[in-house]
Amino acid sequence: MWSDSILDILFFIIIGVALGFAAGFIPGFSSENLSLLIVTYGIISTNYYLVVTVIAVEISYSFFSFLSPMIFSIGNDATSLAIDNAYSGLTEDSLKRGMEIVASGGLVGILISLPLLFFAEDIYPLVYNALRPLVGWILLFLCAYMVWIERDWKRKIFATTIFCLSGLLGLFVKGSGLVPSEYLLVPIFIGLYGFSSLVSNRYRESSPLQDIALVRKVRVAAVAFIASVFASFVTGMKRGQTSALALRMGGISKREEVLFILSAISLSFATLSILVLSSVGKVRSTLAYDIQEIMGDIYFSQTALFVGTVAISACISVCTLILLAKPIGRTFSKIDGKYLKVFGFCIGALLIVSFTGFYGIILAFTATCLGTLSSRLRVRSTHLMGVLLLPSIVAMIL
Amino acid sequence: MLFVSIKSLMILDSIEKSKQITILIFILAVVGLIAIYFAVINIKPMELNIASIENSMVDRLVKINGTIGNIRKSKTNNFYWTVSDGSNITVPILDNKFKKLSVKQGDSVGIIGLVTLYNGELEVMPKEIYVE
Repeated sequence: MWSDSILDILFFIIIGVALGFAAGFIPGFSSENLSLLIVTYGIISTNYYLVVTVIAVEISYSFFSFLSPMIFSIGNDATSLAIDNAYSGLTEDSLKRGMEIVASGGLVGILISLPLLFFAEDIYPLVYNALRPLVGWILLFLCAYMVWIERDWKRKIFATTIFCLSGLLGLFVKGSGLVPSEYLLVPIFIGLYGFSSLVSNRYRESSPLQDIALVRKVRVAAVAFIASVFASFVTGMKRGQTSALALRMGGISKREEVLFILSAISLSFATLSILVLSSVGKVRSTLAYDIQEIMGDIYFSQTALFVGTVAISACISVCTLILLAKPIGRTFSKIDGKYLKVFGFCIGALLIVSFTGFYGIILAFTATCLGTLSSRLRVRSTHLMGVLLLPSIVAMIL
Repeated sequence: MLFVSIKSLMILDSIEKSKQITILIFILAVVGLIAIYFAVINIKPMELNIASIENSMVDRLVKINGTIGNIRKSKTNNFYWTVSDGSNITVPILDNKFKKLSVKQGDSVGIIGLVTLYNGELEVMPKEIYVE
């Protein structure tokens, strides 16, 4: 009986990893879209197996989501920083090396988060409640800081404009009933990070990626750990801001290290969001939102099972990445990315029309303009997260 | 010399075109935002009795009138009103601007908000509250 359920869990984890892997290849598509489809259409009827699948999708996607920016220069809120800073249009060897760096970074991200499992129940509620009244101001300060670190005054002004326009979009549509609230982010994120990347081709040649020395790896992992733990206390702070902040604070600019830390933060963020959900009951990521939607109230005793699912999904994803690194590198260095970009566009358009209708198209169009604008003005794409941050700041401060 | 001049002119021209495209995208983004703003403010709420609110209305903007039957405060400092017009519905008060309202049990209120489903129960998430 027990072995049967373990086999069932393993089966759903493998399904989730396979779906996350497929989503990683589709430019403009995200794990949120995929999880939404799985949850909405009730493809899996048992709640626990549904949660296991959704966790596996999110974790494997956190690894495989680096495929799309690496191959087609199209990222999401977290990986678009990789296009800004790390790489794009890699050769076969570099693609393989890049996937290995993503695998090791992601694994480190999970390993540094796991020890917190033993302290989360006591420490998280304490620190979270102490910081709660200040979170709005912390977020405001971080957004101002992200603008401040833009290279020159012209870019600081552009970044502020992008942040404010994205924020206005968020303020207008949040809780408006214009489109169903659970699908609100579908057209917005596809527009901001998917379609805008398809429109503004950021493909450029880059030199081969190198190995990272062990001492540097430890340093980068420490920076990732501090940034992720900090972000887990600050409601509204997303992977993109966390990564951009970590790069700046840690003085990380080498392309290999950027890739490593982005992957580490992405996985650490997902793991910590489960710990925050179970210890404080707060939703810090789409994964946590999905878990809460499916399971209702979460008890801390369930966390070990969820974190176990995270660990197994990560192991399977890492093995898949390393095994497939060479053939994927060989295949995709030959294929013309144009066809897959068209495919990505069709998938995105289909999702928007079917879930959000006419108003979704207007939202996606506006979001695409904003995303393209940030790319053309050469400011960090993290400012686009004003769409979520500004409404949060306004709600917390006012 | 002529070649260099032509080349420079072509570069200048492409920069100019690139600037125009950027300005055009900026205008389109602003137009999109204005269109969204007007679409949002023109959504009219449906005036309903609480009993007629059902699951199919989730995410619809509705207006309900009733009296506050009960006010519950959660550990996280949020308030939950039970509003009644014969039938009951929960109105979560999560927004700071509504928390400042001085209301008590028995007060008549009009609420415009979105129908939401939380833990299997229908709620009205307020956007505007009128204390009568």
